[in-house]
Amino acid sequence: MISVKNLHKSFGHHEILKGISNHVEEQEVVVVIGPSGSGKSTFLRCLNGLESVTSGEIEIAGMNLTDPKTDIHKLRQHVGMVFQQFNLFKHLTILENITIGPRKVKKQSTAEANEIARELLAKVGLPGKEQRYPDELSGGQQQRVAIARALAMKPDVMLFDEPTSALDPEMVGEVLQVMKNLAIEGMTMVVVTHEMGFAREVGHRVLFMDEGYIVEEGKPSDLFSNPQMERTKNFLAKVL
Amino acid sequence: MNVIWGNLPVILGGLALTIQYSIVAIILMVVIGLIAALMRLSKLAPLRWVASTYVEMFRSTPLLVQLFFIVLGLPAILPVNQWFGQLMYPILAAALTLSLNEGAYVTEIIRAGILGVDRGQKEAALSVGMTDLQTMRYIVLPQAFKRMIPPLVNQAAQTIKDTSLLAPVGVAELVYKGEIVIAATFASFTIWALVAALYFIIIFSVSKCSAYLERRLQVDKR
Ligand SMILES: Nc1ncnc2c1ncn2[C@@H]1O[C@H](COP(=O)(O)OP(=O)(O)OP(=O)(O)O)[C@@H](O)[C@H]1O
Ligand SMILES: [Mg+2]
Repeated sequence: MISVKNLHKSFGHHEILKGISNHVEEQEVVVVIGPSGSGKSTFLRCLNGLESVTSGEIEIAGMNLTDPKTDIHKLRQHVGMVFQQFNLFKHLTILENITIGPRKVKKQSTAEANEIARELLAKVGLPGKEQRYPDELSGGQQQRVAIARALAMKPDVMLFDEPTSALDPEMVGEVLQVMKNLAIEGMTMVVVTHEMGFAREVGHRVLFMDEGYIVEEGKPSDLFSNPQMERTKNFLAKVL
Repeated sequence: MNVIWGNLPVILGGLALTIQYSIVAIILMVVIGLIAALMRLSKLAPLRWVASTYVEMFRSTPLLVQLFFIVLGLPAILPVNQWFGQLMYPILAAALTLSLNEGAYVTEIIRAGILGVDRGQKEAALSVGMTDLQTMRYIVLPQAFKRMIPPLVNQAAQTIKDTSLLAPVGVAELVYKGEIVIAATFASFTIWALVAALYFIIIFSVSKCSAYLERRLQVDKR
């Protein structure tokens, strides 16, 4: 589903990703952990072309992202993204937030898009919020809408960049639950998070990133209880 | 008083022209400003250069000089009077010059409005597959527009004032008609007072309208 080969990314002279290679299977849930500034967000943003790559190759959802001939907008329809700050469209209602992608990008009819949006709202536990505006919802509710917005495009992969880091503690659970349900349904997911409980319970594989490298990877149970690298041990000692 | 009543039709005719030029210039300045703002924010360097050259040229020279140059200067080297007609050219050229001048300021208003929209909004739009154009049209501009309304209304008020500079290049409007009436009646004080009062009524209402809009938008933050 995702295949990354020797990915490098620099901002100016500052190299942030120093050769990342990895392969994500269909229906796999990969959790990315690592200290602040290690390049986790940059890695994720490269996967849907929000950041241009400096060198290397990325294949995702059957398309070659690094091929200049690839239509990046077409590719992004197949790659959903959920942001730390939700980024719901402030001037649109919840229903419009979810339907605007399908309507404008996929040219779905409003009726069909509304129907799908209602189903998705029910699925993320927010029926009846259609006509509200984002700032009328709590953070946890907004993030669930953001997940519904991404799902409305029927993506093949979902990318999550610290989806619960901006939330009050009591709202973290409701968002993680929605993500867990998605994983159970077989969605392919790459999740950057500090929620080690989620990584352990839902993740199939954990990548530990530090200073632009994937330092270590493995099954959550193995990596958490028996880290091999010194840097992984230090990091886990701090967060576990 | 008789001076006012006797010449009111002429003066009001001038006011009507002033309002017409204002409306045309306000519409054009927004269109021009929007295009130039999008060019200034474009990924293509040549478009950015063209737009910023335009903005700087018009903001760094006086409007009156621009009007003299284009309305009276150009015909000296180009047969524009033949192209557009002896009577039409000054009117078209003056209206366009005014619009371009105001458009330069509107460019900066719109650009600032667009840049004021949180970057996450654009990224979210791109991430559902929208093109840059769709992102601009459906997500960024609607949000930018709300914060742009007060400065745009102020610029519109400025544009109405600036139409008075069309008189020196021979375009008939309120000031021009006022001068004609004064030449015939010598009622300098009365007629200029009347002209000023008419400008005041129009521009004051526009500013009040701006204050109203500002308040409305503050109540309804969306
Ligand atoms: N647009 C940019 N321009 C310049 N430097 C950037 C840019 N985006 C990120 N960086 C730098 O790249 C490095 C990695 O950033 P990144 O956001 O990928 O880290 P992260 O692992 O997601 O950290 P965090 O846990 O704090 O979110 C940081 O040093 C950051 O300052
Ligand atoms: Mg990050």
